[in-house]
Amino acid sequence: MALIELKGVDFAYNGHTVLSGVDLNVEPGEMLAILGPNGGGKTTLLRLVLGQVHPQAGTVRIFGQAPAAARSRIGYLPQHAEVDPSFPITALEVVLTGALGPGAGLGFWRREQKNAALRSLERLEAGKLAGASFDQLSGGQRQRVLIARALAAGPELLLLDEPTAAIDPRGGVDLMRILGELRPAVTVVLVTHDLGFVSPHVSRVACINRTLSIHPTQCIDGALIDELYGGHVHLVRHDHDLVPGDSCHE
Amino acid sequence: MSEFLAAVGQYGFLQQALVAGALASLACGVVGAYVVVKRISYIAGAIAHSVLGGMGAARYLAVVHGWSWLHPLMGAVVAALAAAMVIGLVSLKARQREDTIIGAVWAVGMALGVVCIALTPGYDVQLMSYLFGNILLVTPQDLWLMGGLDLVVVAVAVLLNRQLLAVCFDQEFARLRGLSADMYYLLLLGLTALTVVLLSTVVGIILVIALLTLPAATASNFARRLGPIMVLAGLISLGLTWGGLALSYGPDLPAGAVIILLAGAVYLLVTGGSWLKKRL
Repeated sequence: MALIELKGVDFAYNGHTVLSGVDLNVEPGEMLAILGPNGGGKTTLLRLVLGQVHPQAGTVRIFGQAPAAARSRIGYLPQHAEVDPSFPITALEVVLTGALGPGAGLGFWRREQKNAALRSLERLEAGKLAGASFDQLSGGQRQRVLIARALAAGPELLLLDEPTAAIDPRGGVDLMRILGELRPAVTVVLVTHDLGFVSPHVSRVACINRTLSIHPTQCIDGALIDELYGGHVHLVRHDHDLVPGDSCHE
Repeated sequence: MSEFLAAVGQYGFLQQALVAGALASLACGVVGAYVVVKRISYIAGAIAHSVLGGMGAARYLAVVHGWSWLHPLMGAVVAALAAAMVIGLVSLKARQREDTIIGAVWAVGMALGVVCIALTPGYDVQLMSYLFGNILLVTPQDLWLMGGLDLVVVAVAVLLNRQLLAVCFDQEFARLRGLSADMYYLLLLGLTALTVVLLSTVVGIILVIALLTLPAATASNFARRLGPIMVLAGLISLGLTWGGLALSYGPDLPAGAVIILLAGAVYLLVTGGSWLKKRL
């Protein structure tokens, strides 16, 4: 059974078509990159998977369930996370808020919750940041802390909206390596413009600009990107090898 | 200062004023910190001004219709909670209308209060003191009401501190995690409403935003976590209310206004000092 299953999904916002006839299957343990221009429907696709918005046509099933019912099994990193960087909170507290769900009870954080949050930070190689104030972290460190927050409740599916945005190249490469190591226990779907960072770790790329098409990573080339973005786009890095005989379209 | 200290030992009304300052500071520290980090001081301002409507209506019902049991603070609590819920619900359901509803609640609450004052026979000194604050007029009954409100505010804020932290930090994420983020947001506004009522007893509803936000904003220069900010803001608020009371006593100045001037001066001094320190 596919972990994410979209069939014939149409979505419009205020009469403007954002997604049309989208089909998508994501298998357990896979890492899938979603690539496309701004306004192309990438974030909307994630919001459909989260059950924050509902399709006008077609079906969305996550773990075989309606998206809202599956939400507790999903970790999410929003695009440009809507957090105030000057908020007085430590990195550990940020991660702790990720484990807080319905029925959390009253009182203060318990020791086992703190230990679990610390483990989540350590998975992101950010354990030493636990006591640091959130406002004193770099952009890359904040991104790691917010991903650790998304992992805090032990999700089986991780949705990341532009995780490498505003991170220096070294930090982006490291972050993608860490995300790659989360598999197969965690299925990862990430929206990105930085194909260079993700291409060593993903076998398929979903190209989206109102409609969606899936391509093996090695088939993503300059012409395809230019067509997708509707103009010339600089490709920063490709370090995968073409495999002769591979089909470049699904 | 020695004159003030001697007077404290002598006069019960000054002792009551100091107790009122301490009670107000407790809620001020806890809720003021949430208001500052969640950036809802304008909502607190609208709630504060709506309080005049509640107090005016309560006074009108007490004087004209003989509801003598109806204390103005009870009217204030009802009006503040109603204003908080109206603003909160509109903010959650139609976010683009939030500024409009804040302005409407702000002005309509004041207008209701003014009309009720006009309909109530006689010049109501007590009501005017709620408008501009007069901590020296606090009665033992006021202190019991303030103590009760304090208990509710602090107990809820402490027991639900993790949920309130999550909602203040990232409301949308908290909602996705399955927390009743909207309910906790409304709860936070409710706590803010009760605190506004408490503080209005000290400095009046016109000046209450400053006492709600300046101690927490000052404290945030010294602490980088919400808990320590709350404790520090409470202590700063205590120093400001007691200090303002002492400073105003000798020259017979309005205590509420002196407290706010002191709060503004301390905030400017600390924030300016912090800014300079970063650049030197």
